[in-house]
Amino acid sequence: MSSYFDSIAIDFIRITLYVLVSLFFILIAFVLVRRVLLKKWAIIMEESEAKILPTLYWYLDGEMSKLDFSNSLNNRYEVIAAFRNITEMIDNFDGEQKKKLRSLLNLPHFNRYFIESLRNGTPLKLAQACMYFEKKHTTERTVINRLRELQYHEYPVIKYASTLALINTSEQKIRDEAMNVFIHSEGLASMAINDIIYKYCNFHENSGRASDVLFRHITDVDVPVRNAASIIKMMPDLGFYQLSDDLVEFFRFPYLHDVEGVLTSALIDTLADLSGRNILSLVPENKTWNSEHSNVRLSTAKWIQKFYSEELDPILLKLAEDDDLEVRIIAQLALTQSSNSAKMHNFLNTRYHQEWNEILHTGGSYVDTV
Amino acid sequence: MSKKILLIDDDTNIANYVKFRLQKKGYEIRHIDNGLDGVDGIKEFKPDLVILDMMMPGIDGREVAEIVKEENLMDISRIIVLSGKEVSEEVKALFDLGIHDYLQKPFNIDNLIIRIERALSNLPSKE
Repeated sequence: MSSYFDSIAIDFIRITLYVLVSLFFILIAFVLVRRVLLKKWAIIMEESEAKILPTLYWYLDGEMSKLDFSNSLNNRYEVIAAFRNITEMIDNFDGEQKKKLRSLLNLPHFNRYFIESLRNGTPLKLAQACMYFEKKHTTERTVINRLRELQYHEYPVIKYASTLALINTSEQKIRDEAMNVFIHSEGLASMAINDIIYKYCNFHENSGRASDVLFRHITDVDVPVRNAASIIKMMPDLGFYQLSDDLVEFFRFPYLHDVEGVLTSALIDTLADLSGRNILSLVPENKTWNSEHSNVRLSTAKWIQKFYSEELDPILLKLAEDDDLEVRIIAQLALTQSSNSAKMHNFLNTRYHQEWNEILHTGGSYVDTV
Repeated sequence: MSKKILLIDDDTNIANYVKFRLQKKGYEIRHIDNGLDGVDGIKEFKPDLVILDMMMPGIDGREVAEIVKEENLMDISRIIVLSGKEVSEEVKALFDLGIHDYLQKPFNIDNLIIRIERALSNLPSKE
């Protein structure tokens, strides 16, 4: 009986070994084939680039016509190589060369290739196609509809690229809709949001209306707070000082949809830039120094530090004993501006005296946290 | 003998086209795609003019200009800077160092060539 179980166990081990060895060889073969294919692809791309670049330069210098350049593109590798170089050069060159490069984007080779990529491409091809239609300022209805679908893609980079392409179209209504869908999306990087907002405002027919649209998004409870916070932080860079009063009103009243103080902190930082000292009275009024979120207390401390007023010393003293080290440093640095700074340590708990002395003598550059 | 121009720019695509245009004008061009090799290039190639990109990984354009000045590798007024930034503190600092000219990206290639030719005709001979 025992020898029967032994033989089953041996068979089981043998089969497992065969499976593992086979899997190992399959994996090795897969990696090798993939490496060979990638290398081959890189060589083909290099060759295509080497062939296309001189023709592109001849075209730019007027030694070759657009038609001849078009005829020199013989396969998809050359189309990709040409597109890559054309877009890089568009970004870096100005004047006549830029115009000539832009006109190449209308060649049927590119249109055909990127419409196909837009229909059935991998994420990489989709992103490239979006970039093409962004550079081209497309107005084709079928393309616009497909770009709108891609705004709901699972990859944030495709959401971003498709939105950028839609914002580059000539119709304001399409741009507004694209902005609306984008800003309601979750998981966006703040750099992507900043870029879209900047371009949306830049292309908007009416700057006043652009600021109204953005303010509507800030107060919309369905817009993720991190996106709303990114819009708020962009306000000074966009020069939307006319929104100061609206933002103050927004700050004055509670907004239940804030998460971890992200919105409040962004509002404090932005209002410090937009309105400065004028609205410092909001600090005691709104009790942001007493927030449960350290980022809000930190923004408050920075605001007071920037526009220091002795009337706010009691608040600074509370912040100078905060649980968060960064908040304490900023608050104590702010207190050094007080005419009473020499006596200030008397108002602090003794356990913060060493920290206070270090901050006083090093300007906050060194604090022994041990 | 043709004038020698050294182009230090990590953007190979742009550099190749600038090189193409300048070679047609009869200049001897060398392109180097990073700041560190760019400094060595200045020592070896002994260019009449350097076109230097500001934004490069590793040693950037400003650091290259500072090394040129500190080590007296060449006359710093023989440097034209290309930058993606608008006139900023960094560009001002480069002018304080003594660079010849500055051009912001995106730039007009014809404009760059005019500036190069003007610089080469206005600068005293190296000898």
